[in-house]
Amino acid sequence: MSENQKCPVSTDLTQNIEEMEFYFHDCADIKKKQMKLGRNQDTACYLTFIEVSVDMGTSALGETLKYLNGLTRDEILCTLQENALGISDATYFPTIEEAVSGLLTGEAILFVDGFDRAVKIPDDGYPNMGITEVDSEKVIRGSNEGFCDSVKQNAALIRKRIRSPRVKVRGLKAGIRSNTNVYLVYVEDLANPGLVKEIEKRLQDFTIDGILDSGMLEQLAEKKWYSPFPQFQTTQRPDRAAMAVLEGRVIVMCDNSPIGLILPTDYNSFIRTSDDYYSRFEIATFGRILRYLASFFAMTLPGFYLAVTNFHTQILPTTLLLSFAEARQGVPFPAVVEVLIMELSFELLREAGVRLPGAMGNTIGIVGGLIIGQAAVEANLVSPIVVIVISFTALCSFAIPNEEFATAFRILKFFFIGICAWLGYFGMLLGLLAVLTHLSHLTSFGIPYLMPFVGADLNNYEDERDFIWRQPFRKLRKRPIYANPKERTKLTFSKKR
Amino acid sequence: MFSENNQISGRQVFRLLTYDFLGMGTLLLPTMLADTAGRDGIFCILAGILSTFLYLKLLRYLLKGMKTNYPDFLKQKCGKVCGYVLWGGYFLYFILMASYTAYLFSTLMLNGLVENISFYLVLLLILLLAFYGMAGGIEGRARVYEMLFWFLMIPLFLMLFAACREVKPAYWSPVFVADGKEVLSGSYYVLFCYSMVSIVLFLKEYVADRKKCVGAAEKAVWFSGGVFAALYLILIGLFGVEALAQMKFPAVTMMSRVQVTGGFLKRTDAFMFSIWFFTLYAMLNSMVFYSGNLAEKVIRDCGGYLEGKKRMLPYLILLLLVYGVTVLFYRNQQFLDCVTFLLWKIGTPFVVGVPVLLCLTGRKPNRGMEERSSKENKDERKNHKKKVRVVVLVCFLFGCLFLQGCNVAELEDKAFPVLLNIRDQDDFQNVWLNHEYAGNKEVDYNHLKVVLIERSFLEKEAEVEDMLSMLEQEKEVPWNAYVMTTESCDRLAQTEGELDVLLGNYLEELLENTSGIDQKAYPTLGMLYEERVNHLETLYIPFVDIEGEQSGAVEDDTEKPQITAYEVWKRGRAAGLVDTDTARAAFFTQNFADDYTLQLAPELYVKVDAASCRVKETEKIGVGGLTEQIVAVTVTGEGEILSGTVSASENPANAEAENTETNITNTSYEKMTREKEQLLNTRMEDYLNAAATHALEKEIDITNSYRNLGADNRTWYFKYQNTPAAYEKDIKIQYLVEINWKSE
Repeated sequence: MSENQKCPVSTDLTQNIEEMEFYFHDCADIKKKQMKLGRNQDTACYLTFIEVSVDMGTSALGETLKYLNGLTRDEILCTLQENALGISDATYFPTIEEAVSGLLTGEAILFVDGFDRAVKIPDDGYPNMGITEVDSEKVIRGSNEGFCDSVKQNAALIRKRIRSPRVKVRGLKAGIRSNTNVYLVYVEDLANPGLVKEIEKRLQDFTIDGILDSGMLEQLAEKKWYSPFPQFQTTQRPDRAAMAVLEGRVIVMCDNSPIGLILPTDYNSFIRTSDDYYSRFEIATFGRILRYLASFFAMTLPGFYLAVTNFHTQILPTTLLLSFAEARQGVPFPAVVEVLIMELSFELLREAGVRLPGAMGNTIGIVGGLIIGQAAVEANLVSPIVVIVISFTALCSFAIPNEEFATAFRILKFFFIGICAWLGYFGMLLGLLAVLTHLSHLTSFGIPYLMPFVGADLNNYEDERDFIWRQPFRKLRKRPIYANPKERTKLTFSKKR
Repeated sequence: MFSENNQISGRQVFRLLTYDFLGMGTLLLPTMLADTAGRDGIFCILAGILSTFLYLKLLRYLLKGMKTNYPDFLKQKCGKVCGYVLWGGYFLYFILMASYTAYLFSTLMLNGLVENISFYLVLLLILLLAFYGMAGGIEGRARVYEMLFWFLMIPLFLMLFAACREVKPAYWSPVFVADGKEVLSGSYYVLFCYSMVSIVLFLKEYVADRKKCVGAAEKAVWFSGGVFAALYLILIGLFGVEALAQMKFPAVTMMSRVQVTGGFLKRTDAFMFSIWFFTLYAMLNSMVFYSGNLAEKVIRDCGGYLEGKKRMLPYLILLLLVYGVTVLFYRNQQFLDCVTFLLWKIGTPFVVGVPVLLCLTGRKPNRGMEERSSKENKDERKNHKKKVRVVVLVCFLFGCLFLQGCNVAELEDKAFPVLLNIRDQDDFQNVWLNHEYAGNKEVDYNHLKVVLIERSFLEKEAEVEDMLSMLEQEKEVPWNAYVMTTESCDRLAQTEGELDVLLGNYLEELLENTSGIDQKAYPTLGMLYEERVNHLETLYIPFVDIEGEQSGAVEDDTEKPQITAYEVWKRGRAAGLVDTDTARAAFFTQNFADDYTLQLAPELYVKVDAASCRVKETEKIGVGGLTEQIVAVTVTGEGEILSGTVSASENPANAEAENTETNITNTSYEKMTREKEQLLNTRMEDYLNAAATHALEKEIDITNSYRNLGADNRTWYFKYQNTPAAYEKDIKIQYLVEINWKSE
């Protein structure tokens, strides 16, 4: 659909109909109606829309048609010419291609004989699920409103929280066939200069036939695509997205996806949750410490168990070690196989739980966790201590607030199992150094992934206030490093405290 | 935007340099200092820090006049040919240091973490990781160290803190005994560890705020200097200077010896290897990075330009070179010695001396070539992924060929003996071998609690020496396993069935929980190893026997082993048995007893709490005008009568009070009068003097004062340094008891 191929809307309705037919032949879902409008029924028109997305009853379209029906042909043309339909969101398209795109956004397109533009009349649009409660990123305190499939509604949910004219929503199209709407939401003066352009550039660096979810965008725009660690943060929570926007970050939202992408991001952002800021700092800090530990153990615990029991038994007290040894009596597999069996079983259960309908998914969890685990121990397939280790690891991975981020640790866990079974604690150190080196190489739009563990000096150590130790809210006076350096202050008090 | 500019911050420079200093310094410096300057090594550290600090002032001056990067500056200042020669010198130094570090790194890991695996594989894995680290450029490397810093330093400080509890301050003295040459040698070693400070010259081009470069280096010198000093004092206080001088990696040994309070983690040495893992890795990385930096500049000067994936090529070649040199180190000890000698004697003077010479030759640098290299730095560190991936994959597969090292025995296939019985030399070796190969289980000695040695064997000096040498070489035998002795190991073993726990655990609990004596008083294998070299201490090895047999108590149905006497281990050899009363008096005198209950007269039992004994060596003119060497012990604290009576008239000092005899019981008085206190103190003095004299007859000094001579009495120290056997013959022990007695 390049510029030079565009075909202008003709004043001859027949020609326009032919052009539209050219695009939409064999499209049973698209309604194409030829009608006569006007008081004298002398003005031919052509209305086309996607069947389920338009309500002909009391919608704007219905009202418009009724209104036009009461006018003469000249009045109709004059009204259209002067954009006096009384609909704020009517859009005029001078070319057929634009009209086609307009139709595909789920609105009705009206061609009127003698008028050289197509009119897009807004209506219900495509069906979507509407705003629902978030099913991940649950919080104890705070709103549970979640993003939905409609990018417009999602943008509105953010704007509802930040009612400022400086909130900008830049629209892009992604996918040459899917023509998916992509929105970049940011606060004009808070976002770092150049960041929006850089994101825009990254999102348009590729040509693809269709983008069906923000996950596809994410993978295509990531710089280090081989990394298991996500370099785009995802969220289903409008409040979280709004918070990110206020930090000077940019939200990328894709139509048909309830997941927004937050850019740039870092390790610490994945560990933070929305209610960290709604709760008192002691609680928030405690929660963060737990989550940091959880992220570490979710990756290393099974490997560490193997390293200790197979290589460095001196670490544990004798009584504990002997009870470990006793528990393993009769288990036919080496410890590494035992751990792998349990880990794979756990991953299978998890996968099954996700795929099955809600209630059954829960059942699978209980059946797997309790019955299969118990049976495996009684059948001497695994030792009870391994069940404990794997369960604890699973708990740790569930404690990580972001699913994509948690998945990285779940995958790396197998790497650690392998290397620790091979080289013990030395292997674990090698693995940790490799992971750490990898993380230190990662950046998200120029921000080091390990901020503020590293590079805190870039923002005068302000980011360390909102780190493992979350300082009291009143101390968080500066925006993090993502924000425009000229707009770093976010909190002031009228009196010095 | 913010990162990927190939620039690092001042904080990152500080941490980077701290790692470089600490890695090799903490491993090698204590042994070298103990060997050269002994206890005066601490002054060598101070001298080394100060001279490094001055050296940094000089570098600051040099950096001020340096408008380009250091290699180019060398060329400008010294001319092209000379500049290239200096480049070559630096390059060689970096490569050899990298190889030496890699060798040390691999050896350490093999010794401490993965024993049954190929050296080549360990080295390969380390270098592969280093290559991956290089791909991130200096920024990537700096971020790793910046992040890890406190995660490593906090455990290190905690371990040092935990080790402080076991430090014997007497081992720190005497000082000022090393001569000037020894102190200078020691200071030179410290300077060697700090020679890495010269790399701030190379770092200059990578530091965002160049003014902070030297400041960060100064901070790193102070910080690491503090760690060196603390570590050195702790190590001397733990092992003694003679033993320290013979240890390979004493800091590592310390980690295996120190027990963390709380008791869940029995030994943390495996964890603490992380410190050297990361610090040595940092050092290795730095050396390869700077040599690669020079190589890149040579290529640039030759008209070549490496960009994109090709940029990693020099590093790959350098790492292969390092691999080759390290393998040569491993296979050829002479080559290693030769290179080490070169590094000490030529390398260090070179890297320290070149900047000094540059400062001395005051010619202003030619500014023509500046800024030339900055352009190529701008588009560094991109797209090496594929090459890294392929290399990693190939090397990993290659490494898998070495999988023979993974002879892991499962937990249930291991036996964890908690007690090692040693009867005689042959038997000892057989026991060891039997443990190793008997049955179908692999023996893991990491949980050994007690080494029980038959007394007849303990008296055989040469055989005991062999045994200790053999045990010391077995890395899994814990240094903190207690040593006990008995008449017959077999007889004790027969009681195991009567006990609720394993005999080893029972004996350990006997020492730790029930004896009322601080567990530091009981000799461990580590103490015996050290005493083979130090020859300072008089230790008391508990002699265990079946309860009642020696004491004459009535035997009951459950006979349990008890401590019935102590074998004295004087300066590294057996010196005969003493009874428990004498040993308890010795423990009390050495402040190891929580409380001390003793019988001062028939039916008069007293208890002394919170006592403190101060030992001092003095001289006085004795009978016939001869000088007597007195070890005076002043005992202070709180005491109480548990049962019995004391008569004030019995106090010779109160002879005139004969007619006012009063019986005192623990229930009959509210406050002890001064006279009666005096009486009890005199009785206690008599008791302790008798115990000390009785021990001295066997040439046993219950005050263990010999080890304190260096600190307390330098004259005696030098007098008995070469004739320690005469010490116990010459001294007399006199107690002065100043206990405050109270009623309950």
